[in-house]
Amino acid sequence: MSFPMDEMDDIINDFITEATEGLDLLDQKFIELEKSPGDTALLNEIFRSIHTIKGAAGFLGFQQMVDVTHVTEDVLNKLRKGEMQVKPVIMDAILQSVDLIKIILGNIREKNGREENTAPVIALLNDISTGKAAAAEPVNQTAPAAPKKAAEEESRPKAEESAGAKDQSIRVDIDRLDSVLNLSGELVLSRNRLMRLGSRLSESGISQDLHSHMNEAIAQLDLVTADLQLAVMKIRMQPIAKVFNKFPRMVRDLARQTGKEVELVLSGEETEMDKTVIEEIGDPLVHLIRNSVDHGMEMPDEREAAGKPRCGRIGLSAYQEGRNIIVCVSDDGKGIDAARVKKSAVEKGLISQEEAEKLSEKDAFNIIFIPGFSTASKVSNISGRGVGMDVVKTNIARINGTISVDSELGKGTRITFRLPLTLAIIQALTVEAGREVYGIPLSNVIENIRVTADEIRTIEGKEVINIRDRVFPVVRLGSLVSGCSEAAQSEWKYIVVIGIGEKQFGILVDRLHGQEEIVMKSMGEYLKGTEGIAGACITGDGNVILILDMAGLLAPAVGGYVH
Amino acid sequence: MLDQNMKILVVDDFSTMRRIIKNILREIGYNNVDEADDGTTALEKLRAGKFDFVVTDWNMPNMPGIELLKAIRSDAELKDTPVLMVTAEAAKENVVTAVQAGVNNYIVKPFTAAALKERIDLILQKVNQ
Repeated sequence: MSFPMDEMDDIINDFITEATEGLDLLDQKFIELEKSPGDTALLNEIFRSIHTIKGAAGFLGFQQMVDVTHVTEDVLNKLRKGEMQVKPVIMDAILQSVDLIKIILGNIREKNGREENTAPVIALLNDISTGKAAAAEPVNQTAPAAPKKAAEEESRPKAEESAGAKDQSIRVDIDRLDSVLNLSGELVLSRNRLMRLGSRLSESGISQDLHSHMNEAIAQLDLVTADLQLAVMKIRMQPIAKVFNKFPRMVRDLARQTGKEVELVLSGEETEMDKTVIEEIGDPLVHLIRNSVDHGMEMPDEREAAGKPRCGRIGLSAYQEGRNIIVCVSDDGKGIDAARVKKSAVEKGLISQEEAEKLSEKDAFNIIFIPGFSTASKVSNISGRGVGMDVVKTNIARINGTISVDSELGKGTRITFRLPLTLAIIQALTVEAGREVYGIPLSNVIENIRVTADEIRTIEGKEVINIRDRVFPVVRLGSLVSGCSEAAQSEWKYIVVIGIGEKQFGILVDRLHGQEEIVMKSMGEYLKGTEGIAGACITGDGNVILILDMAGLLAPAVGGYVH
Repeated sequence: MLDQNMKILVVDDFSTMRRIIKNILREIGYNNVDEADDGTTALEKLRAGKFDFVVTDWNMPNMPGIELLKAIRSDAELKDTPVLMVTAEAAKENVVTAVQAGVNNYIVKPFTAAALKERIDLILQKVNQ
């Protein structure tokens, strides 16, 4: 085609977006199809998706994509016409080709000019559609009459369904959204400053009338800013289905690879959260679900012997709880054996024998988050080589989330993420230590307690504090961050109890300033790679303070706790 | 003979395809082009405004191209509108069904600008005779 170059680039970008969306939906549909192989409507939809991609790819000259979609379409056509029946072997082949189509689409996206070896997949699908492959025994000729009729019915218009369903959405470049978010953030800062100034006006002796007008205007600004912030946040929100939808396919493949029977039950897919958070939780979830299928689930016979249904169940759910989103992966597999985890950790030298004996069952579960730990006696290529759970934890902590493990031997395991709704605007506790003010993300804070200096005890050379019969390790924020250990010589100190993953710490600070809604600014190149600093912000009184990344800051302490 | 202002409706559920076809139409001189994402919306648009020509895809959800064609032919106002069907394969049974339903011509994807121009010219020639 001889379109202008930038128009062509635009069309190709459109194609990539549209085809990617179509392919993502396909995975979901294939899983449904396996559950109801006779669903002609579903087959028609799948056929149409591939067909459409092929059509556009032809125009754009993506020959490899045309070749692969073409043979896939042939097989799908036979399936929807009832000339062949949906079988796992055929599904495997089709899924393989869809994967290949995705790879080719990836090559197009990256403009790397790479050619994939499409021959094996094309040959396989050709064999299936021509009946050469063993999988494709033609169906008994009496059978297909019924599905054919259904196909005809399907092609009739469903007027009432489509009448008012016009697409009311537009695609916007994410950079533009980010700049709106940024601006609304700046507005929050100005509002905060204005509110501070407003409260000081009364002391400055201006007329009562002017003062009340001023306050009215500020209150109005406050209201509008809050609404705007919410509205902007909502623009960036996406349903978590975006991540969840890839798992049915993954679980299906894993189950087939391991010879297990597993059903994935999704719930709360419509729960919305910030795009950034959604992007960050994908990998951790992949890891957890792999673990569930690979380590958690027993073989069908084993399950039956234990009095469980042969088919295991993995639940993946999401829901909102206040300013948090809870994402939960649960299974009804064999559960985590706390004793075995401890034994393994001792053998690997991660903890000492005495430490192992002291650990409660719940604490023992947390050992799985230590780098270098893996309970699987044989390493499989599904769950990897024990590089996983610590990375999962780090990734979740990076987005200010926490993670907790519940497990009952023989009954199953439940892993829960508690995630923030958004990353850009956070609630922070401002504290003072070593003459500096810092912000601690409120999502990390469990509680604040006022203590006297002598309530802090030393056990085995480490400072701890006893709060309601629970002992917490104490970290002095002043010496940790600025190296200035003591500042305000007041009688009272404050302990901020922080939760990082499952671990809890008491952070010792000199003073608590308050809770503030802050807009986090990246430190850019200046402090890139500085552990423990998440960013900076301007507070209501116009000062710049550092926001602490508690997970990074306490990383040495977290490790030290176990050793 | 070629009316550059001829108002054309492009019907396809895949927005990239609509864009491609619109570009090709522009290339051969037709700039007055509107689009619809399936048969149902196409019918609404056709009934709402005067269109001189329809280019429609075959395979679409809700209302496939063939149903759109039948609806156009059975509508007193629209029945004379020329329809060009875009298909991915020159599958015989499809072509026969389409001709029986009164399609003016069809074109197989992917096609060049020259091929599309040829088809459109052919249709207009016959219609104008």
